Amino acid sequence: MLFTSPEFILLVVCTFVLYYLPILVRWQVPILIAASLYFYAYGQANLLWLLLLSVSINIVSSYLVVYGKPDRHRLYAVLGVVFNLLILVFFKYGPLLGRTFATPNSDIGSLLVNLPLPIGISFFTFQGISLVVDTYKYRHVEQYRSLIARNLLKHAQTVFFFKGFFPQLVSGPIVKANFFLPQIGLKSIQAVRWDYCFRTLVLGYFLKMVVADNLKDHTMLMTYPYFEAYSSLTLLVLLFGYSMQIFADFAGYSLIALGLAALFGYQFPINFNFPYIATSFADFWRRWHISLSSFLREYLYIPLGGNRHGTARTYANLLITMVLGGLWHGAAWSYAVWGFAHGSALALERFVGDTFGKSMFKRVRLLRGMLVFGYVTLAWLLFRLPDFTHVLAYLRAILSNGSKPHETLAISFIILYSLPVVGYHFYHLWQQTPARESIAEHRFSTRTAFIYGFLLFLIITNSGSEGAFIYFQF
Amino acid sequence: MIWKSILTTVLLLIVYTLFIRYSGITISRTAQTTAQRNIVKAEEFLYENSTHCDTLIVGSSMSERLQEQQLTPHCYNLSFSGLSSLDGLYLIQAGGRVPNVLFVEINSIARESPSSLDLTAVADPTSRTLKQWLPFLRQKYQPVGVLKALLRDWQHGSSDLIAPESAYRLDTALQQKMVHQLHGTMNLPLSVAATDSSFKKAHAFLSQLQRRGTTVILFEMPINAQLENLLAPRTIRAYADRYFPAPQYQHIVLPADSFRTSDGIHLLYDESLRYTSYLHAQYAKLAQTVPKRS
Repeated sequence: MLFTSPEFILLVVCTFVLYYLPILVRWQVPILIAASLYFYAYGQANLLWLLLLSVSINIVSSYLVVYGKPDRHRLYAVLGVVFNLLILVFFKYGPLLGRTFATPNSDIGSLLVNLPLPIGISFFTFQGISLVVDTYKYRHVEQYRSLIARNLLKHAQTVFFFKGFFPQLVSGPIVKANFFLPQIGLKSIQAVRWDYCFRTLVLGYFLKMVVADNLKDHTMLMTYPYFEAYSSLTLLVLLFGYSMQIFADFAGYSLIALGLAALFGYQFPINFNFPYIATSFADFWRRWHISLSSFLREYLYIPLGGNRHGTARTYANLLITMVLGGLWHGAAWSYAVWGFAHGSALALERFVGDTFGKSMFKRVRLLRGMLVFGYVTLAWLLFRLPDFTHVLAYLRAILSNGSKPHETLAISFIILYSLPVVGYHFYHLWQQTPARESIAEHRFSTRTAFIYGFLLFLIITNSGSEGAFIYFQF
Repeated sequence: MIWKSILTTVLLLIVYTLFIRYSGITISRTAQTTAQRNIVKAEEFLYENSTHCDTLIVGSSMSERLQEQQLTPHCYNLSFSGLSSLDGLYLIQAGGRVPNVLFVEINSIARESPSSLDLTAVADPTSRTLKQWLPFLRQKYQPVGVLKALLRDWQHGSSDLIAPESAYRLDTALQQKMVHQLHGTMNLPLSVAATDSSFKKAHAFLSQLQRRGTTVILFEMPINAQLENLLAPRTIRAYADRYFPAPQYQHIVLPADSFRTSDGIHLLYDESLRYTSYLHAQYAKLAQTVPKRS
């Protein structure tokens, strides 16, 4: 069920009405769980059992980490993480492993290759890991410990809600247990931040339906071998358009998730903070898919040793983290290459900073920003064309198709639909205020009201053809 | 303050509707992409009287290149890029119209239409009612598309621009690559269950139309000579003969001449004119033998 479909809007409205009905206030969390189950089953009813299995593993392991025998707490935590990872590896990477290592006609090979990809598995598995690790880490902290109910049924309800809450179930943001669990409680309709909800939802739907969905229909031209017919300029603009599309698609999705959660009285962490104005790769990863990068930093990079064991080890940790982060996106080696490209850039940037000093590059911020944007955009090619030979063909075509005529109309539309993303970033630069302020805390002036009214007008009249969110496949 | 935004939206929608309805400007050819062109065509077919024609063509992007006015004077081409003849048939059924003559492209009958190009929402009764009353909901009137059309008309006048295929930059190396790629896929066996199911659906649609007086003419679009007799096209021909036997159904067989394509399956502009002429001549011959519906 897409966030943009009428069925989803109906589900949200019905859930919202029931959720705040005075006689059902006690059942708020079960109502959201029921809505989440319906939401998941609507898209993939045959794999609902897997979500339930994953939730059950996390209910038991997190409970035992707090209430099991003290000398086994670590064991339960390790088992919880391992089971979570096993589910992820089996379902997400089974087909890749099957294609790579098993003989095609063998039973095991056929089983692995034909495994279905459960929607949202990467997201709800990571949240499960966060729950088990946070519970283990903070099991002696009374404030956190009190969130793990002694009553197993109540705890099961909490875990189910944490992992399954529908706005973030299939594509995040990845919410950490220590951030979300303290928020669970009774909510009142008077406490709903209507202005915030309205703005995040309108902006999110605008980015998704008007910008990303329209760009999607144009970046379709990046299909092998058809792209070889286009000029170098056309290919570069297409790549630029895809970069804008992937941002609008995922940032749009994340904003919708934030707005929906806020309608029910919950807060998610912001997932995008104007990433295309980043002036370094480290800065980019502090702004792009923040919930994933902070998860990787906290649960992978730092446990690997982070930057605490010398320069060489730091570079290696960066590479390992980014390659695994790349593979998290999809079961194809091109995602690992994408992760490696980012890991290398981060390591190189660190090396240059360590060797020549950071102050040397402070004066060339604009140049650095352009370099980071160009590199990041080029790397998106690995997302658009998962076959590595097609990526190389695309790059060859950019270099050799200079004399071919341009696709003027496609170029014009891509630039036009990219303008809101560019404007969005420049507006933020112009404001020179953090994202949270610009979205949540500014007063709703008449000018702002007019802008949001215009965005709503464009959502109604100028949406592109309906398409799944790019990150649904991850 | 939210109300201010909503009020702005409502005002903009009212002004825009007035512009669409009463500006006196003919708004046409507004589609920005292939997917949108399909939807605009489907909406026009369902919502506009000007598309009520005696003769209809259903097919894929291959038949989309046929020049309908050259085929018969009162003809509407309901072929869709990326989709199959079944999608056109579905729209005819949803529109409740019974054409006098229906040309059905057989090449694409068994093709599974991608969900991203799905046209069923266009025919949904609620959506139809809404779009008839609120024209700004129609793809044809997307502000960016309308702006594009107005700019184009302002720059070039309302006459047709250079036909896209005549301006096609034929790249032989690329064309060969595409033909090679198609050679691989078109030599694979088709799924028996899926092909059977598609032909059954087409048969149900067409036999119903025939019972209501429509003359159904099945035809095949020519493709690159290297691809013409591969496994997939041969299978499709066999299915077409089995499900729509002559003389119960009219067939126009491919001529002996070969036709040049841009990518192996889509005719170049000049070639599409030539093939339309051929279809027209064959149709004229058939028309002499088929009694006209009163």
